[in-house]
Amino acid sequence: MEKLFPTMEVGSLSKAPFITRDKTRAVKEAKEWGERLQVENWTRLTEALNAENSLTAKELQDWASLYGIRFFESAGLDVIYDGEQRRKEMYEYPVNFIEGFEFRGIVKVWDSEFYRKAAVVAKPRLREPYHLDEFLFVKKHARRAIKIPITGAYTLADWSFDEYYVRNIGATNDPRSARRDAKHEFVLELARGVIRPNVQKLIEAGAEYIQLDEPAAAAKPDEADIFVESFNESIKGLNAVFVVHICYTNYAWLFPHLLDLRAEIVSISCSNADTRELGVDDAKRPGFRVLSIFREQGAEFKIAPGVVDVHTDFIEPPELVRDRLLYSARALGDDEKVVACNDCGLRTRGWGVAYEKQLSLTRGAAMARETV
Amino acid sequence: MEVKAYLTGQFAKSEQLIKAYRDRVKGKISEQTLDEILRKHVREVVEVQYASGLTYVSDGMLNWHDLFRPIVEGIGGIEVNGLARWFDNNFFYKKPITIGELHFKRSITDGYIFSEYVKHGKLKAILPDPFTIASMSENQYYKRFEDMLFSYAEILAEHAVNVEELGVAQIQLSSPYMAFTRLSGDEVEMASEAVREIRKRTRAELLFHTFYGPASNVIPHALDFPVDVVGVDMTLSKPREITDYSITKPLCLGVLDGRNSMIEDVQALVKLCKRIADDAGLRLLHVAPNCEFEMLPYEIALRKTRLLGELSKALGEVE
Repeated sequence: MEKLFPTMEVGSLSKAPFITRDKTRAVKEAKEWGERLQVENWTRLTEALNAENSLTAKELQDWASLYGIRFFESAGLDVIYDGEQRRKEMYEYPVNFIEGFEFRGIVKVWDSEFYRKAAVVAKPRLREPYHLDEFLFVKKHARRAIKIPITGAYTLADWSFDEYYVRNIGATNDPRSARRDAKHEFVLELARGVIRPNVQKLIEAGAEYIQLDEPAAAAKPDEADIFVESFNESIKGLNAVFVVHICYTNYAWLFPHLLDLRAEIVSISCSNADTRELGVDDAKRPGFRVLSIFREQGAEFKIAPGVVDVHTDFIEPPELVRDRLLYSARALGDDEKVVACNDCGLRTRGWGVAYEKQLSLTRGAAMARETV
Repeated sequence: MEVKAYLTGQFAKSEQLIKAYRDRVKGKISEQTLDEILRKHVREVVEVQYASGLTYVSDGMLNWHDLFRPIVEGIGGIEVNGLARWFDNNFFYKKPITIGELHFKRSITDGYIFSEYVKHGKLKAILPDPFTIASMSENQYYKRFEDMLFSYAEILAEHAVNVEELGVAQIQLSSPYMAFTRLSGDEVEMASEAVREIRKRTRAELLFHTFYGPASNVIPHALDFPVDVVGVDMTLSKPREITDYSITKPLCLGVLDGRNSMIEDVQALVKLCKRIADDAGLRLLHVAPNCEFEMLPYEIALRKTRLLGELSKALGEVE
């Protein structure tokens, strides 16, 4: 990523539109997107979809992954993946590959959104590497640089119950400190015993860009140091470009500890708190003012501010993307520190909207380059 | 030792009830079918509290999407916007936004309290404390925070009157904000005066329950609040954060962890409660979960409810 404002996807897309029980619609979507994205041999997919039961679930996933890869490539992004077409969520799947966890049941996140939550009951250990087959498929078919996302240690721990590390808390006179110590140990053992060996396997398989997803990183203001230490432990001794994605939070809570983070790029959300007006002054770019904190604190890593809001169908005009990037460059005081990115994964948007948004991302980044 | 025991927030939802809510959103089941499944679970949650011998019984608040939503739905001059994190949890609420003069429109007794399943004089109701809901709202209308705060307080007082008419014995004002955030002296004063608006309107036992933070953020100043009982989160507090002070009113010790699935050891909790009661000179002790059980799986919430009953019984046998 040597050019200014390189473009990078950040995670999930919604499932490929031909993944539907409606056969007619599946064929139509496979054809339309196959042509639009210039997916090689797409007619084989439509033929198979037309025939009864001729595709296995694995084959269908392979096609979805291929379409996901071509989706980002066709939109012109510099660093891509497959939109996590084989994944359903980011917690339960990795936990299934870790010894020392037991699922306890369904818990609420908000309204009618729930997830299956596990408890750590023994020291966690990687049972077998995960995301490896998925990565190898993407690597085989991608024509651009690829970045594989993987849930980070802090988030896995924060989203789990703890029935192991806190087992002696009953006897303490200082439960707050004891809980913090327990969390610290839990997160670090996940980083060392699960995330690092898994990342190592991915690197051995050829991964060059690895993104640790840490949506929980700033949930607990007094644990920012634990998150940073766990990230650094997760990648210790490993050689790749490491990215961390942290979204929809108060980034100020992470400082000053974030300065010790050994990531090359920190991907954050900005656009969902921004206006849709063009311009590079503070009043037009409230969502990006947070970048001044990174500069004031002296952060050395690159920042990938979300210049595309993934929670709305509004298609950002390229000029708006351009202005958001130019404002970001000015706020950080260095054009080379800015990577053009989405706020988060595009999973909640349909492919049509998501694709237009990605076209705007790449066109806006090109306009920003020309302006600079 | 004299002991009172009760739950302190929304109960967990069973997988069946979760599915029913999701099916309703997708239009797969009718409102009536959802209501039948909801009421079946209300009865089950009430029953486990009776069977555990709890002093007060909650209906479980199973149709409250978050602590604020039923309140907000009954207020004019307000709307809800996007999701916001519920303190430091992997749990989100819809943020109230004040866009006009707040005014009471509809009571939570209209669809959000299932008093018919609990005997008169046994029911407990839970409301947000005014300072918490005001602080967790976005103010787009009032010039001063305290104007919004007291508007909320008046509305919450109206709800308190309404639930008292249903035979509620205890009203809990949930104040996670006060435990999570250390308030300034002026803020504490404002929070207390806002609670006074509710105190003026109800004679039910009033519990000011704080959680998600240490007792040191709460004690001693909350002891001066115009309430009958002050609740603290013992999963995050040192005993001496309580016992270092002269305790002038009953305390509710939130000793069962509503945020973790680990099942507590009853004898260890008895020891902790007895030590605090002895050191603080308390002859009456309230025991409870530190917070809602909504972040636990249903079966674990049921187990912890039974455990609370065991704890209450064991403490009752202590001299």
